[in-house]
Amino acid sequence: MTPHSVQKSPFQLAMQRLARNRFAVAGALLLCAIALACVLLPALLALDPTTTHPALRNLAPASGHLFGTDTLGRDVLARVLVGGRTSLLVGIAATAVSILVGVSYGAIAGFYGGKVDEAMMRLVDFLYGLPYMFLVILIMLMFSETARGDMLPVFLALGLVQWLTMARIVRGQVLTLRHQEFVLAAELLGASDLRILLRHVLPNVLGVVVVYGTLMVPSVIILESFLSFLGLGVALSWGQLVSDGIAVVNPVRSYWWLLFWPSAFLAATLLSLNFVGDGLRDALDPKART
Amino acid sequence: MIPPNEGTQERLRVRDLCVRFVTRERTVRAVDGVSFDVRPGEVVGLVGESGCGKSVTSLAILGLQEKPAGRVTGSIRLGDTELVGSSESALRKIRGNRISMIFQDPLSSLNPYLRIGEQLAEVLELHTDLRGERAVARMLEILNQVGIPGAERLRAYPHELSGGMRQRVCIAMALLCDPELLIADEPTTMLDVTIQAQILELLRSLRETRNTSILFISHDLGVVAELCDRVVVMYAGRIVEQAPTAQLLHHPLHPYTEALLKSTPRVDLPRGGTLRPIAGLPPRLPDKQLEACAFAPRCPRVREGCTQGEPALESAGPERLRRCIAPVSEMETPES
Repeated sequence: MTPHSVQKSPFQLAMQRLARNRFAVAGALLLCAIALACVLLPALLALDPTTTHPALRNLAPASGHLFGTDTLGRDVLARVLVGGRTSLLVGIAATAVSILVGVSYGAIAGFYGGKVDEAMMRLVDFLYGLPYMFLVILIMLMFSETARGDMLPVFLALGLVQWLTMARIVRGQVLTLRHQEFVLAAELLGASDLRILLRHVLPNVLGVVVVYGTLMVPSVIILESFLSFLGLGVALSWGQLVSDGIAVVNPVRSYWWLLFWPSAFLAATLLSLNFVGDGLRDALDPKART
Repeated sequence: MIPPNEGTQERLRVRDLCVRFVTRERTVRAVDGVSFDVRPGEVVGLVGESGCGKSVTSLAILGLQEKPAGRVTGSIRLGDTELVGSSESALRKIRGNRISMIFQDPLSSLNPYLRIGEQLAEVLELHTDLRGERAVARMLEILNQVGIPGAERLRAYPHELSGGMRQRVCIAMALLCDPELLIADEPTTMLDVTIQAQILELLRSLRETRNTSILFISHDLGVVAELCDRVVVMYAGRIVEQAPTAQLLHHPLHPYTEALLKSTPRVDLPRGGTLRPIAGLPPRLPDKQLEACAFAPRCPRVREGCTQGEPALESAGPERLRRCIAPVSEMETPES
């Protein structure tokens, strides 16, 4: 440590390490590009994912329709981009729900320990034992009448299934941090439980949560795609497009672009997220120095 | 059982302190009937092996014994305030304010994600109304006193400081509110010898400039000899000997103290003597009155009477207490 080094927080140092990881940087850039395209391009290029053109059915990719058109003559580029909005939104929102629930639950269990911990974690074990797909389908069906086309049930269903692992991870971390001397030190400086939890314990768990959150987004996206694939999706998403694409694959004539584009976007997004997640995990590893 | 100097103005007065840990399987009495005083500006050493109840005693003073298993009885008075049985919120106002503590490992007692300035500011936020520039001025004043000059250190993170620096920061944090009592739990164990000497010097000057009382917990008699006015020796959760430092070092009365001294390297005695470790381990502590001296199984001077009831803590001269029926005689000097 040179005396002239600018003082950096452990988090800033981790970000520096992340910036040196080429795969993670490439993943992050690709992710940004896909997200920006999904959000901005449909409006900028005046793309319309819903209008059908009976005259323009099943066109191969060409200059008018870069990604071709589907069996109803809708522009595939428009559908892939708009579908991406749903997939990304579900991924982020459901992850946010599960982080919110999982972190608070795990933190309380780990911080208070003993009987509180025992009871709270047994509930988690119980929920773990239930088949999650069954749960998700149940929640979706419960909302299907009242909130048709609404995405909130999807967020909730997926988030409420995913928080369990987050709760376990956070609980384990908090349990070890709880007995670190700086937590005891804060306690004997007269800080209250809430203050210790928010100011001293949770910031130290943040790294793990960020890493796990990043890796959770792709798994949620896959789950949502799977639901859409099963016909339980609520809106146009990559999963639904893949499902549609597979439906028209047949030995006589394959409209490959209907399957290829949504799959390619889905794969690229998942891969980037995994690269970023792995990079973050390496960067936030407390044993890694420099 | 009544220690001498009753009636003088003590700063900390511990009487008949018992800490028991109650679990489903068993109950352990970690501290049993401990009484001692710390006077203003006095440095009292609390020594003993690991597991003798030193740290449990100090945490009980702060009301931070392991909960809900830990049960504290007896009396701990800080000035006029009774701490045993005080509410959590009352104790919170005392911790960090009237009583502070510093630990063995200065790195793990600082939050790695907060700048030094932020951690110091937290103490001021909790206990004073100093904010903003006045808070910064106070922090700089304290840092200066513990030998960390320069405002740029406030922006440093713990990992950017050396071990000695970190311990200084911990001490600064403990001193921000000008505590009446500083509990130091082996503050020099993790530091190398030069830094150790500096930290001891710092603690010594504190006591002189601010009249801070220090309860110094250690198993290192060498360090205790340098700093403490009086020493309380604990074994198996009870006090076995208490004496002014010089007397304790030169004429230990309890065989345990003698054994501790023999296992410590000394520079004030001729070279060439072998260090003798104490054989065995401290006993498990049952939740009942002992039927024999707790040290008897390991004691080289054990005799018949030692296993017939626990010896009482008796006065052995001014400021001296011992719990032994066959004390080391005053005539014997501790051989090297």
